[in-house]
Amino acid sequence: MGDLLIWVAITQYGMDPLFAIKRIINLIVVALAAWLLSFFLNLNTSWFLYVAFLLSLIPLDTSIFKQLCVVVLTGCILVLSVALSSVLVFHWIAIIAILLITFLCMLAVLSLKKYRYPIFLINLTFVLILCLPPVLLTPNMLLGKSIALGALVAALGQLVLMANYKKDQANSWFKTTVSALEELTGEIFSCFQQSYKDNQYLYEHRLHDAKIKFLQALNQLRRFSNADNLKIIKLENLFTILIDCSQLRARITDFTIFEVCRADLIAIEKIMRQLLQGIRQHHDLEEVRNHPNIETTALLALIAQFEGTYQSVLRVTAHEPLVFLLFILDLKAFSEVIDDN
Amino acid sequence: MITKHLTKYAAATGTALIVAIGLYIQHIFSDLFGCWFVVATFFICVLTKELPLRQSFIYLLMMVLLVLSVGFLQMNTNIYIVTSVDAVFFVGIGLILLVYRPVNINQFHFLSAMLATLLIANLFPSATQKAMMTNVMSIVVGGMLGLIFSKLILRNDPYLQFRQGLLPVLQASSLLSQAFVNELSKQPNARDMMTQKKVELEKALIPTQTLYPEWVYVSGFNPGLRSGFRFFLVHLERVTELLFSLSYWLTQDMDDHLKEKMRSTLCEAISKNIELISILQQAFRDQVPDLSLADFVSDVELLDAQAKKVMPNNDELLDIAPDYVILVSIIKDIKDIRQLLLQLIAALPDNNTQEKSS
Repeated sequence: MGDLLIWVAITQYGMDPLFAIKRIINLIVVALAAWLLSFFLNLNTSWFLYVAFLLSLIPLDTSIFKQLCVVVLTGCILVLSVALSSVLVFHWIAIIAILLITFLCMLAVLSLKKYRYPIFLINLTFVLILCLPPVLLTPNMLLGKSIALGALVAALGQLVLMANYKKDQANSWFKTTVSALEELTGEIFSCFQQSYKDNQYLYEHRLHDAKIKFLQALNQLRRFSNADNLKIIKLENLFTILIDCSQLRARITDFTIFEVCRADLIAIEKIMRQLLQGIRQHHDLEEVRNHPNIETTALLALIAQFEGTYQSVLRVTAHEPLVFLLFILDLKAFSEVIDDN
Repeated sequence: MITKHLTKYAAATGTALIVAIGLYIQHIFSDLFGCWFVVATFFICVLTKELPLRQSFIYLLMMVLLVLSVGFLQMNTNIYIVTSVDAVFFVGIGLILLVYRPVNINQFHFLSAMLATLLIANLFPSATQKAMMTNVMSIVVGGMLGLIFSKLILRNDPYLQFRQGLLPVLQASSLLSQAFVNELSKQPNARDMMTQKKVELEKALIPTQTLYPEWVYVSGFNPGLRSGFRFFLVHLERVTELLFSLSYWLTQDMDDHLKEKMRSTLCEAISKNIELISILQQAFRDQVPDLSLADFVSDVELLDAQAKKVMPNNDELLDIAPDYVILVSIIKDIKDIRQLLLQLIAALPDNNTQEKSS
């Protein structure tokens, strides 16, 4: 099962294998450590597991130091909530405290969007602790110890990711970004058929998801690499060109015209996706250029073939021949960006 | 800035919690319902705020199923097995998050909330069948209470939420368009500014970072509002796509002489597009835009006339020089943006319709 998931992660979702293995080890280490410690130490098992597991899922930050800080700080606040629960014995004070904390957490989410999950966890734990009947809450020392140890296990588990943390993250997000670009290519070309006209919102929804997936992955990649990194600039350019290609869907009025060039479009999509796959696998745009299995010449040949179809058929039969000319310009630009040094 | 709909959402969550805790503490329900009562209210209020009612019920159902499963395990097995199941579930959720890297924040919330539900179920053990049923009833009633407050009594106005979600996109689009004018006018640092504004527009479209109304696409969203909202969102997204496209073509090498001849008409047309975006912004901020003296046709006609002067008349000759095709692409993008913006303005509801719908 684990092997299958890793295979899916690497092949289908463009995951960096090294990062995937490290993350899986991280999950297993936390699970095993929590499982063993819950039997060998005198702890409140439920609270210990609750904190250790939920804190381990905190989305990864830009550096291992920041990541540890977030986990430890969240753990400290959770321990503090136990201390508070012993003070807030009166029900009405507990109600005010829960409301105040919930409101503060909502405010915090507005300005610290990327820490939304730890903030939610803090809020949930406060509600849990303040609502638990005293019989489940006592003794507070044991509860505090369990939460603190849970946070410690989660924090130590993160150390598995420590070696080359930033590089691993950058590699992993680079592959995810290219994978998202591949998906976007597929979604864009799927719009060039009659059924787009009949199910416009369905196709637009898919296109929207693919775009957002790419933009989100690119945003993450920017966090781990320099913004002026050549790879990022090239990926941005490829995205922009693909988006410009997608304008064909809105500029064409008669979708039956796509039947004329369907085979050409399918072949172009296939080779574009292969090129992107090559970039993902070889992790370098420049390597792709010289790689024997990934040749932009194949794409250029297909573009020339499509240009031939344009000159002989589309220019005469299409209501809007100009938009096909612009589409060809985009395809050439795509090839140029991949070839560009 | 605390937006109006977030204040309302905070009020809904706060009120639901006050009622839930109040009922729980006053022992009205505590004999019958357990601690899950308050937790379920909180869960449903916080996690389903952007989801339609149907999907909120799915959340509730999943919670019930998980608590039932844990209850059966607790009754029929020992602590070792329960702990092992928790550990396996944790690794499973972690792997799914690793593989899928959920783009939608709701997907991440759903997965982490399921793990949290499983772990919280251990905090409220179901030693007997009665205790398990009490827990299930608590979740159902607590969840329903959360839904009543967040979706019915203090529900957000979708139109208001939609407008507030799109304002950052309009703002970023306007700033990027202004950067295009600066780039064409050859102002210093214009290229860097344009790149920066493009990144800002990209970020404005990411729902996890902004209030972008992605929920319009979610299945189960109000069928009465769906078509109108989706029309608006799809068209506005196309405007942003065209802006991205323009940002690429404007940075491509083009004959300076050709660029110089087209500069003023291109700037004029882009400036008019900025005006149209600001009209949308005004409408979304509840201000009444003045359209009486606006002319959004003559500049495009002028742009076409100027393009005809500098480019070959016959389309067949266009591909002789790539510069011409780039220029055609830029003009086409600007004209498409204009058309889309005019369609969006025409689709804006008038004040009377807004009052009726609210």
